[in-house]
Formats: sequence, C-alpha cells, structure tokens
Amino acid sequence: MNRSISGTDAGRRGLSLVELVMAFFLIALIILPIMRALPQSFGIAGRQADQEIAIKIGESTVNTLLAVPFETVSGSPGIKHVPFDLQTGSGTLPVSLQIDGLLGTGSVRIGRTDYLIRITLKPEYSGPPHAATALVFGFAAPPPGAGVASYACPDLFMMIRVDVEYGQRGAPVTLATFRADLRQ
Amino acid sequence: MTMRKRMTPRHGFALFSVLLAAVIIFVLAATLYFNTCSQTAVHTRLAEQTKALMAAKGAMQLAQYKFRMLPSEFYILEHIHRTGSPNDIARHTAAWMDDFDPARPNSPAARLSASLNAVESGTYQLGVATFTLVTRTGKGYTKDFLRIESWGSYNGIRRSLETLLEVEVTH
Repeated sequence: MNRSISGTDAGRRGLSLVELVMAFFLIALIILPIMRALPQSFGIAGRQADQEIAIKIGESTVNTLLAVPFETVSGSPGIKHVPFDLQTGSGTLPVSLQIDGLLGTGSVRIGRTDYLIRITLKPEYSGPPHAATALVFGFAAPPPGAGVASYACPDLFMMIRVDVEYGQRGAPVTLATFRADLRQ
Repeated sequence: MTMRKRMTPRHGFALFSVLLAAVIIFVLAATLYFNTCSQTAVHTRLAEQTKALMAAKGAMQLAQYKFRMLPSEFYILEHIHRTGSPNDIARHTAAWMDDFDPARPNSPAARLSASLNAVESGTYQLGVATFTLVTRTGKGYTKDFLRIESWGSYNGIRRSLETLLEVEVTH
C-alpha cells in the first residue's frame, strides 16, 4: 500500500513537471514574439502622436502665414517676426516664427518632443506683365472677336512651404499652399 | 486502478490553463497590433487630407486674385448668365473657369498643381469648382457676395473649401 501510494505520488510529480516544462515552453513561445512586438507598437504609436502634432503645427503655421500682411511672405529682405499661439491639450503655447527673405524658422517643444518649423517661400509668379513669369488669366473677349483674351498680372503669387521636423523619429511633415497679393 | 481513474481528470489541467492563457495573450497582442496598423492608416489619411486642404486654400487664393484683377470681366460673365444665349453663357463660363481647370494644359491651376508635385512625392491637384455671384437685397441697398468653392487633392484624397466673400466697391 505504501509502495503503491509512493509510486502514485511519484507519477503525479513527474507528470506535473512535464506539464510545467511544456507550460513554460508554450508561454515562452507566445511571450517572446510579443515582447519584441510591443516596443515596436509603442514606438509606432509614439511616432504617430508626434506626427499628428507636427501636422497640426504645420497647419497652424500655414494658416498664420495666410493671415499676416503680404509683405511678411513676399520674400523681401529683412527679418520679420511672426508670433502665433498654438493650442495644445495642456494649454496655449506661444510660438515665434522668424522670416528672413525667402526662408524662415521657428521651434516649439511639446512634451518631450522638439518640433522645428522650416518655412520656404518661393515666387510662383512674379510679373511684370508681358514677362514669362507673369500669371496670365483668360476671359471671354467681347464680340466680334469672340475669342479668349488674356490679362497678365503684375503681382507676386507666392508658394508657402512649411516643413515640421520632430526629433529623430520620422520624416518631416510637409505642407504647401499659395498666397496671392490681394492688396491692390 | 481505482486511484488512476480518480487521477485521470486532473491530467493536463495546467497545460489547458496555460494554453488558455496563451490564447488570451495572443488575442490581446493581435488586437494591439491590428489597432496600431489601423491607426497608421488613419494617420496617413489625416496627413493626406491636410495636404489636400492646403492645396484647396491655394486654389482659393488663385480664384480671389483673378476676381481682384478682372472684376469687370466677372460682372460681364454674370450679366451674360442672366441675359445671354446658352452659347454665350458656355463661351464666357469656359473662358473664365478654364484657368481653374488642372486638366487644361498650361492653365494656372495645372501649373500650380505641378509646382506642388515638385515639393514632395505624391500627386497633387487643385482647382475651382464654383465661382458665382450671390446678390442679397437689403433695405435700400444691395450686397454682392462671391461664392467660391475650391478643391485640392493629394493622392486621390480630395478636400473642398467653400467661401462667401463680400464684394467691397472701392473708389
């Protein structure tokens, strides 16, 4: 009886050991790839959050540059300061852009990420009338010609390009639009 | 023999538990992974929508600038819209709107689209869909508004922008 019981106990212990070994093996099999995947997922999530903030910073910068007096974005020499407020989840952050000629910069730190704003201005059309660089519009000529007449514009028509770099985590966000000289 | 029979149901209990836990962990990890993947797609789309919106804003500037340069010609177009023959309306409308058609070679819209395409990889297009005069009569005065609907697209993602601008007469 004693032998039988001790034999049974031994069998139970052995079986548990095999089960435990298999259990650890299976857990390791599942956990190891997850351990490798989790930091990747968190890294991607962090990068996406930074990218989303960079897009919003870029959009705010473009909107600001569309609203300032045209002289600021005309590419004229001299340093121009363009302050604007950036709305974030934790409040309002003041940002200052500095534009000198056709280039500008600015920076802002949100959380632990530094965002560097680069502005590039380019005259897309620059006049004067009759030059190849003038923006030419068409309109219907009055009869009897009945064709399309054209008008060459004398003003600047600027491309505004904004690049927002965020740390070393990804490619910069690039946004571009145009600004017409509507002063006249 | 009796003892073996009593022990049998306990065999593989730990293994079963671990398999269950492993499946649960796997499902959670797979959910996290697929959530991350879908978030990546959402963020990419957000970036494309913002780029398309910026292109639409550029097209809006082009439209406003054309009106600023050629207000009389636009009012002639509007007059023809009300009084002209269908042929005249078509001719004047085409002449005015062709500048905002990116599919028309060498049009300002085509050239601006090409300039945006040179900025980065991806396909930009911009244009103006609607350019009309809205007249509202008040007490003793009439106000004119421009209704402009511009659009921009980036990699096939299209965004539109509609603006109602009051026309101010300056002397």
